Amino acid sequence: MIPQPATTLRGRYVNLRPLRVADAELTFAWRQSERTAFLHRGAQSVAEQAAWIGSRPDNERNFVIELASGQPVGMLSLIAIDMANRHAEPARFLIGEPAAVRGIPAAVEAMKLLYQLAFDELQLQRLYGTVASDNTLMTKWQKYLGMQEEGRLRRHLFLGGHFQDAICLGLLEHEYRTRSLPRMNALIGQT
Amino acid sequence: MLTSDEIETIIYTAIGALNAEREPNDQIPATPTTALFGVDAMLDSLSFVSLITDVEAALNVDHGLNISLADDRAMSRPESPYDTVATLRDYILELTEGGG
Repeated sequence: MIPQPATTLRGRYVNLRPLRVADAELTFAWRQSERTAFLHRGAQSVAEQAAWIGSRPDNERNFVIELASGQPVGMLSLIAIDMANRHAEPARFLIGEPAAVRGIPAAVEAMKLLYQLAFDELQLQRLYGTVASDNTLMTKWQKYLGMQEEGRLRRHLFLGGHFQDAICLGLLEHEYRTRSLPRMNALIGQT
Repeated sequence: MLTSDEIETIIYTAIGALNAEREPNDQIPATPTTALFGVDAMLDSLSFVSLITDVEAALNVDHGLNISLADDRAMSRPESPYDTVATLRDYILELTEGGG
């Protein structure tokens, strides 16, 4: 059983507020931008997006990233939460309003809040995920914040009109505490 | 010991790597006053971390310096070392003079 308090996770610059069906129009618009080139194909209409939001399973936590002012600027999820094996996958990471977060470590703090949820609240042992091989900035970003490359699924994704490898990344609980947290704190604290 | 100019060159090389993937009208200038992180910066979080990663890698691989640019020391400073190329250069110089 996965605890479902559905509360807002609060940070210094951003909060992670549970995703609602009412966010369908906004998140659908974000999904149409070029910045989603590396995400999987999403809903094709606002109605589909609303239906998708309304049908999220219990083993997911889906959030809207909000500034302290309440302005929504992106989205982030923890999916495939497996309490038996104590692992989950950070996913659907998107900054939809890049101009609004300029100069604010929104992406880093949003990920820190998600890691805190995973490792401190849910007491998971491991986070994992894949990044498209063309998405070099995201791969570097995830590795710098503690993820380790664990393998590569060759020609696993068809994105941007061609097949790409999926780079498999993983983060263990002790790596989060010794590597991720200090770096995240430094990047959040120095702006 | 790395000189200020050598460190600046390392940072400019990292900026060059970012520029190689950016549009011609979105190039990051390689100057000491270029803002790296903050309201005036052209870099988003992903690009900034990419730059830090490349600079750390160059310091480590090319110069044998095992330096972390994002740790408690960076947090404890009154001024952010990430503001501009010059502040990052000076921070790296300080770390290298202090033995990393």
